[in-house]
Amino acid sequence: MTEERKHPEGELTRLADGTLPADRRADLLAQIQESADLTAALAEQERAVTMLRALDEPAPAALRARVNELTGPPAPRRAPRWRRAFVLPGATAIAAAIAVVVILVSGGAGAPTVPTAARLALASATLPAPAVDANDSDNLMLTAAGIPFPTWGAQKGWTASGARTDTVGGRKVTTVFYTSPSGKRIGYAITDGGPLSGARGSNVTRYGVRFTLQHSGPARLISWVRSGHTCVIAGRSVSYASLLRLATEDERQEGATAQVAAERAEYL
Amino acid sequence: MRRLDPTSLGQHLDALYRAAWALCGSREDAEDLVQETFARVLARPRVIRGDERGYLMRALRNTFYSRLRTASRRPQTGATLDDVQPADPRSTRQPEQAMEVGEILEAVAQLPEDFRLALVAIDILGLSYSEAAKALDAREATITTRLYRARQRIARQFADEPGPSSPTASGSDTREGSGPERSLA
Repeated sequence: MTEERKHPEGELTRLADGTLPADRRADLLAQIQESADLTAALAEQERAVTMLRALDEPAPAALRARVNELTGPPAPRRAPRWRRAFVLPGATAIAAAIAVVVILVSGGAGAPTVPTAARLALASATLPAPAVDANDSDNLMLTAAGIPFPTWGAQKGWTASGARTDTVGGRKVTTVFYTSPSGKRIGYAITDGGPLSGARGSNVTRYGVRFTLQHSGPARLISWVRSGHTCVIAGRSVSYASLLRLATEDERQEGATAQVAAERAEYL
Repeated sequence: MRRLDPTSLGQHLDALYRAAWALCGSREDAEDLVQETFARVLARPRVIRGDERGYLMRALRNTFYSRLRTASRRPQTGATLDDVQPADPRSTRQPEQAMEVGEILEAVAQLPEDFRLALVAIDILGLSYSEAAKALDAREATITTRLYRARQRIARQFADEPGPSSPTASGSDTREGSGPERSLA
């Protein structure tokens, strides 16, 4: 028996940040399901992990400049004027060729990115809120790329308040807006087609799905790929923890059940 | 073993700055600490084993202790108006966002030293458990226990937003990139 088996908190710590070895996960998950204390302890660990790993304070520009002075290479000597006259046009042509290749590979200058989808998720609604699906109270009567938009209302306290559809670079972006009882607002945008570029930030994996946490000023957003399509939830003055709970809610039903079942089967 | 490449150190600046803030509890002290750490590391060529960030964590911790010792030898004076912390002067930052980051990092700075170092190394600087154990000269199991307690205190200190229920027990987090978040801009 290892030391960490004598002290479950060690294993909870690693489970919360995803570093617990797979062969120990199933056993611990089974213990957690039977213990309210362990469930609460894991929730605390997960809350702290989400909060701490989403910290986004960059170093101030003045400090960066001072450190760059320390770490940067010495300034290169300027080439003679006659050499610059030959080198510059060549370099410009190469840069232009690279730019063309980049634009072609990325799907053109108008191709949507995660930041594009986030801006739409923070924009105004142009359509009324979709109704709740009479046959499935967990979802609204609106889908994008085959993915239904959730209601969230009963459990999470967010109510659909509007919608909009946009076409960016030939791809349809469908957004539903939700409002909380305290008046906060978020947008949930789903883009047709393959995954979008521009998801850069801290990554958190829940239920086997990777969620990327980014920000733009006061707005925070979480993006992930579901069924091959990029989903983005964005809001102002809404914590990452709240956004992550909403983002994971859809994946929880499908992912968690399958994951736990698979791990238990492997363990047994 | 390999030589430390000074030009590659800049990529760790943001994470090191947050780690320094969590150690000192003050933005201004963190800036000084990071600058002094880089100056010390780059004062002469270095040969490192393992991860650059782990090496920087050790350097940051040693510089932090060194500054504490120096400060303790200085004559103590009462607080003056200069000691009053101004609001974040950077106009591009939203006050509520700066406050949230500052509150969390300052709460980390209030943790007992062993807890704080473990949390800074793993959750803020992004070291693995083994790297953190090496950087902090402790056993991995010890680091894990300290981290558990540190996270527990931080989670309890910051009440969650009302309304939504907490995630279920079967979820787990994995940080796949230790880099800082990036702005959309």
